Amino acid sequence: MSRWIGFIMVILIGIGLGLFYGLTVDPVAFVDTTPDSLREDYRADYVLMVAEVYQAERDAAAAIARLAFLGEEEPLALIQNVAKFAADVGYTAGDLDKLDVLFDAVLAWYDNPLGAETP
Amino acid sequence: MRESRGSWYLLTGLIIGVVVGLVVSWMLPPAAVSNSAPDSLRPDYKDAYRALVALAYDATGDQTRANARLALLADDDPAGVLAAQSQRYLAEGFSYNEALALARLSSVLGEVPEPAPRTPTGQAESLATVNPLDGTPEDGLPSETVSAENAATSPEGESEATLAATSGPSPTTTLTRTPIPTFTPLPTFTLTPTLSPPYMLKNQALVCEPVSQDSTIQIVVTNAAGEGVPGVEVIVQWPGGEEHFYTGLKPEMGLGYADFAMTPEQTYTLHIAEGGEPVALFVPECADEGQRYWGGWRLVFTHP
Repeated sequence: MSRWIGFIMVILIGIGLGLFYGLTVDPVAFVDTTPDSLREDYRADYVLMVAEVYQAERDAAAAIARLAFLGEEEPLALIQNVAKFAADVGYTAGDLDKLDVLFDAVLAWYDNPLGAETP
Repeated sequence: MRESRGSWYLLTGLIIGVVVGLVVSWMLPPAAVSNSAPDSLRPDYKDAYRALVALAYDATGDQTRANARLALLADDDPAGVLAAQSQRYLAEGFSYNEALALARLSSVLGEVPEPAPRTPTGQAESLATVNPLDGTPEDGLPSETVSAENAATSPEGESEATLAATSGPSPTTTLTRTPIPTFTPLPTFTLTPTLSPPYMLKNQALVCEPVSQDSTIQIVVTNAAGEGVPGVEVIVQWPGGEEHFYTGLKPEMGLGYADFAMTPEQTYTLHIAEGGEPVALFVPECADEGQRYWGGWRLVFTHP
C-alpha cells in the first residue's frame, strides 16, 4: 500500500515539474495570432501610431478603420483605455496630446459621420 | 518469499508525471491567447502593422521610433521585407500611399537615426526607445529619461520593448467624455497619392558582359541624395506589348534596382510611371576580342 502512495506522489511531483517546465521555463510560442491578443503596451503603441498618422492625414474614418485592427472594442473606449495606460506608464505630453486629438476626431466623426470636419 | 524491486517504480512514476505535465502545457490549446507580441502575428496582420509603422514614420519622421517598432516584428531583413511588401501592395492594388510609405522607410533603414526627430512644434517630446534585448535606450538619451521603462506592465515580467518614457511629471489623461456612441459601420476610404517631382534620366551606359546570356535593361532609381528608391513603377513598351514592374524586387542588387530582359531586334520605350521623359532603347551589339554578342543598358534615374 505504501508503494502505491509513493508511486502516486512521484507522479504528482512529475506533473508539477512538467507543468513548471512547459509553462514557465520553455512555454509554447504562439504563432499566427490575431491583433486582439496583443499585450497592452503593444496595443497602446499601435493606437499611438494611428494617432500619429491621423495628425498627418486628418482622416478620422481611416483612423477608425485602423483601430478596428485591434478587435471589436469600441474605438472611443479603446482610445480612452490606451490614453489611461499611456499616462500611467509615462508617455510624453506630445504623445498624449496626439491621443487626445485622435479621440476628439473620432468622437466628432461619430457625431456626424457624413459631414464631420475633423479637428 | 518477497521479490525485491528496489525504487525503480518511483522513477517510473516521476517520468510518467513529467510527460503528463509537458503534454498538458504544450499540447492542450489555451482557452484564449493573450499578451502576445507583434512578431507572433499572422503574416497578413504583420503586413498591416508594418504598413502603419511606415505611415507613422512618414507622419513623424522619427526613424528611431520606426526602427524600434519594426524590431518588434523580428523580420530577418526589415528593409527587404518592407521593399517586398511595397511591391506587393503596388501590384495588388493596395493603397498607393501605404506602398510609398513602405518604400520610403525601406530606403532609409540602416541609416544613422536623426539626432532630433521631427515633431510638431510646441510639444515636449522626450520619447526614448528601449532596446528590446537589454532594456537600454537606443537613441542615446540619458538613462534617466527612460524612467517609465519598467512601468510598462508586463504580465510575464519580460523586458521587451516598451515605447514610453518621459521626464517630469506625467500628465493625467483628460479623455473623460461620455457617453460612447454606438458603433456605426465604417465608410470605405481612399488615400490620395502624394505627388513628387518626376524622375530624370541621369545616366545611360552600355553594358557589355560576354558571360551574360540575356540582354537586359538595368534600371537604378535614386533619390536626390543618391540612395536607391524601391517601389518606383517602371513602364516598358514595345510594338504590341507593355510591361510594368517596380524597383526593389531584388534588394541584393540595391533597393532602387530593377531589370527587364530585352529581345534582340526589338525596340523599346522606357519611362518612370510617375512622369519624366521616355527613353528609346534597342538591343545593342557588343564586340570583344572578335566575339560579338548582345549587350544591355544601365539607366540611372534620379530626382532633380
